[in-house]
Amino acid sequence: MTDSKVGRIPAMKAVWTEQLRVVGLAIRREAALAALALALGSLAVIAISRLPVLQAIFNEEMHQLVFDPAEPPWGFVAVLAGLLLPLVVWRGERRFGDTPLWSMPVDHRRHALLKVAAGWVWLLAILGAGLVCVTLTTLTSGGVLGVDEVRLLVLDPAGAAAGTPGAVESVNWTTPWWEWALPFTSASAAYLVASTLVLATARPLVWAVGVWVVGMGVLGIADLRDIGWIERAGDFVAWYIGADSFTRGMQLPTGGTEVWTLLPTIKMWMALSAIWLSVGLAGVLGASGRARNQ
Amino acid sequence: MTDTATATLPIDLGSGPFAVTTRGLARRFGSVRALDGLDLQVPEGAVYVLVGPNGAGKSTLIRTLMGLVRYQAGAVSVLGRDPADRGAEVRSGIGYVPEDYRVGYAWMTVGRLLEHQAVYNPSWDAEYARELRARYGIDPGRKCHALSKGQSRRVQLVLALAHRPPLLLLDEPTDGLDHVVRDDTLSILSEHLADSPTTVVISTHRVYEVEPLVDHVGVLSDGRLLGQLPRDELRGGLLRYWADVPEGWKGPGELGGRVVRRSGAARAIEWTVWGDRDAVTRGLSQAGAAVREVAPLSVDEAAVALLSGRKAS
Repeated sequence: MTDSKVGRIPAMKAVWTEQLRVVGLAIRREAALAALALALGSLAVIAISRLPVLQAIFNEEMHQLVFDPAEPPWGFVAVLAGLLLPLVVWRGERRFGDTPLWSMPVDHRRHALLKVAAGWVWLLAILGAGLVCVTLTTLTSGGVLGVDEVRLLVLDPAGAAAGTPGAVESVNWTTPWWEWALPFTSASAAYLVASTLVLATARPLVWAVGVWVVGMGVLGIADLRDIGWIERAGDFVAWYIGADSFTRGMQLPTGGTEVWTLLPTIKMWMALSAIWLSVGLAGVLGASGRARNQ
Repeated sequence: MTDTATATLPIDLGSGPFAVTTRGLARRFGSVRALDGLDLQVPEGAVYVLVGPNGAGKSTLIRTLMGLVRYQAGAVSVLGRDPADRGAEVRSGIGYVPEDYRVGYAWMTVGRLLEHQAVYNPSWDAEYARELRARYGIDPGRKCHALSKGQSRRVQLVLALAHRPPLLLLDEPTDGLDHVVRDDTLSILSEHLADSPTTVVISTHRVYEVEPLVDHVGVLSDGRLLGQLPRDELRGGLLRYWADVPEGWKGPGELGGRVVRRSGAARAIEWTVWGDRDAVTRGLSQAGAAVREVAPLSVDEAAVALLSGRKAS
């Protein structure tokens, strides 16, 4: 059989564009629902800020929107979007069977990576649109973008946790520019990790819940049995490389003012982003090869 | 590699040229040997039917040729390339109808699915795709999840044919089709073959449905080929003999052929034998049997004889 009898392989640019379109179509229903929820929320916030009748109904905290992208719930929403999006992106693909994706004349690993990348582009676009929407809503409703406050930094975090904060240092804190990028990097890392699960396992949700349950179980047992190194490992993951790294504000057990055990820095953000994005990328690269090894 | 002693009929089709070859192809799933040293030879331009019962390894073989399943031993060449290393190039030359009748993405319309396929196949013939779609009566606005089994099969055939690939791999293509659609499908396939030089591998356990198209036959059982030969050779060499035999007949010593299957009751016997007709008839007569009738088998009957003979042995 001569070479000329083999068909032509599609150009990568054409495949990439098509994957962007197909993923966009695949996620359009969920994206529309999210847009609707955001629009309704924005309208509600603007209405409350403008109408005294509504202000009388809601408590004072809801009269003015304070939008700090690193603070809950914004960071959490971004991470959640990153975690759930791969399930929608890969919906309908029989990843371990005769899926349309694997039957196409494209290298399987490359094809899987293009699809993941297309989903990632959509994730960034959705987050960007959401960020713009919330920013506009904040400005329209007379809210505050970012925070400008004095934070109390405890010098003895362990003592603070035990209820004896000891000395504190007052620090003027303004939301730094890079915190506006935080939802994008955290959501991207979450998206890559979740994509790894979706590509590598037939039942990603079962695996995700299973890993979480086992992790919580191990930490629970460590707490009961007083196994120090497991507790320390758990704290390390949560406080130094996990989601709590940027929100180290805590209420003292005795109540009263919120104090901070650590104020996030650009170096922390860059280091954590590099760690989690690398973990996610390595996972996706490894898992994308699995499809061709059935 | 297939041990020729275990193959009931010949499996060597000569020197080619071949569109598809495998040598000693093996693939296990756990303890199950799905492909067990398979030597497949599909001549260029042939319509090769791969016959075998469910679980014989037909779908695994076709998926291996597509580069969807990795083989563990042996060698594969599809359109001159190894699908394990150059899967994308191999798939660019293949029109594939999978066993699974679900087509495309559930949320996609058929029209969008055809556009999607066109992007991936630069040689896509849009006019031909429209013609096939119209002939099959496929509504382009219909969502893929709303298609019946038969409609899905028809869409899969349009997707497989419209880029006029040099090789078609059709895994149970008539499964789920009613008689009218099946006949229409076969006539479209015939016209396609007349129009475009194509090699076709059809896997089926209902060979009678595709028999008019077929010119080569491979019979697969437990991941091994029992035989692989041109249809005419099969019809000329595998014959059914009806004979009357005397009381207490012990059978012939030397028959001049390989017995594939024997049945019958009392003094009337029915033997299916691979071999030269005159030599077998002579062998039976010399042993005291009176040969009443000799008839060739259809591909379907031949497959049944080979497979049931294998089970009985």
